[in-house]
Amino acid sequence: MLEVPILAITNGKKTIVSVEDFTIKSGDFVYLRSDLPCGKTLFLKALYYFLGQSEKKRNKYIDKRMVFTWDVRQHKKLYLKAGKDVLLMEFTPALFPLKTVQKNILLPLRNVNIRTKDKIIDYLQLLNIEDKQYVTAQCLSVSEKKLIELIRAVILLPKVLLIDDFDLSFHLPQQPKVFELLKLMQENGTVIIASGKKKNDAIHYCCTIEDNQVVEV
Amino acid sequence: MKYILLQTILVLLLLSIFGVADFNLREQNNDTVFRIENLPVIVFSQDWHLLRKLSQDLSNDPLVKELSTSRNVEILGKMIMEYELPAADRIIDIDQLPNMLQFSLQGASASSANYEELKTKITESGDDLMMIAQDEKYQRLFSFQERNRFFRLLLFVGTLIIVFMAALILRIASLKEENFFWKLYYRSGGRRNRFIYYLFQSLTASLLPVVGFGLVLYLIEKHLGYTYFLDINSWLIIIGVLILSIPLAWLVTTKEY
Repeated sequence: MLEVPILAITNGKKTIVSVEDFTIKSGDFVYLRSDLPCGKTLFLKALYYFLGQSEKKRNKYIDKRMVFTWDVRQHKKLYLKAGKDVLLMEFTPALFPLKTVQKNILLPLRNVNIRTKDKIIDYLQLLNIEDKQYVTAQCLSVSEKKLIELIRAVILLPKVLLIDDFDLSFHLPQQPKVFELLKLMQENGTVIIASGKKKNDAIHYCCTIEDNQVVEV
Repeated sequence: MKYILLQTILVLLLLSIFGVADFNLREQNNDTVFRIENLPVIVFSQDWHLLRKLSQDLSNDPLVKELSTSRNVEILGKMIMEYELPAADRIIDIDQLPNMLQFSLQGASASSANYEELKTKITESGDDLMMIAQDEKYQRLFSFQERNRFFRLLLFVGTLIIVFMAALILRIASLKEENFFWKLYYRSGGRRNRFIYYLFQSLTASLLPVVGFGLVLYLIEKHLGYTYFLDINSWLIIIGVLILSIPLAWLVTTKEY
């Protein structure tokens, strides 16, 4: 269960976006869709920052219905403050260009065993890019890089996965395989929140941000 | 790894240059100490009791070493034996011969000021005292020794400053270069503490050259026979300066995430 308090995204004293509290069940996939710039990316970043706080602090905001403010100027330390249970996949891939695909996937892991390596091979095969395992990341296309990032997320298995620009990151022909991987995560209880502009028929739970509220569409 | 290696080599090189220069200065200082200790100070007096009293006073003085007194009879005996002058015993009036007190200075602690103090102390002990010392030579040796001490201190402080600056610059450069890695690492979901990693890396880069320098000194002593040692305080200061650069570099560097 993911509970989100009232999130206010500010730039100094000016409030850019404010989202009322909402709750998502474990294993749910929420697709935030809007053609308009309603603050989807900022919302994901603010959520990422909020989930990086300690559980005690998060509960305090939820219980007392306090407004959790995230200033966009805090962006510099956004990734550092992230917690262990949340992962944000932005549109720009976070891969080391000179490291191989396998090394990039294993990078955030503390303990690597043979099972993990086998899993990587399985996922690469599932996405039809098994031949890229020992290729450096700079040789991959952007969509392939995004797939590698997704495999890394599946291996890490965070409680919450935030994917920005889902429709731009994963092209339509790739999406069935991507959903297969995401399904694996959902089965393990991962909450997935993705944002995008285009309508996606494969996703049933579609939301948008309207009048400072996440509403189902 | 690149910066650990670079810092190790650079600091080791600086410490080795310092070691060679300091060894030479210390040898010069040892030579001066030896020369000071080999210049005797002689005090003559007809009054034996006065000389004995002065001898007792001086024996507690840390500046004085190898103190000895000789009575006039002993001096005459030595003269007769050394120069084979048996007739002198009959010719020389023993009461006219003075008694003698002889000592040398503690070279390591002697300085122009405490030598002057000692001289004043001797001359104020009584009127019937005649002091013979090679003042000019002493002054020359004292000034040389002081200059030598100053150069050693200057060399040590200078080396510390250069070592500190080199370590600080290399730590900052290492932190800046690693910014890219850590940003991507955190974005990819990695949660290792950067400071602990930096601390471990920096301590290795700081302690490795000091251990290396100690090893170089040991090998030089074992194979070449040159003994050179730094006192424990100097080692601690060098390590302290290297370690000081670690938090300072962390504080002054902008870390991007």
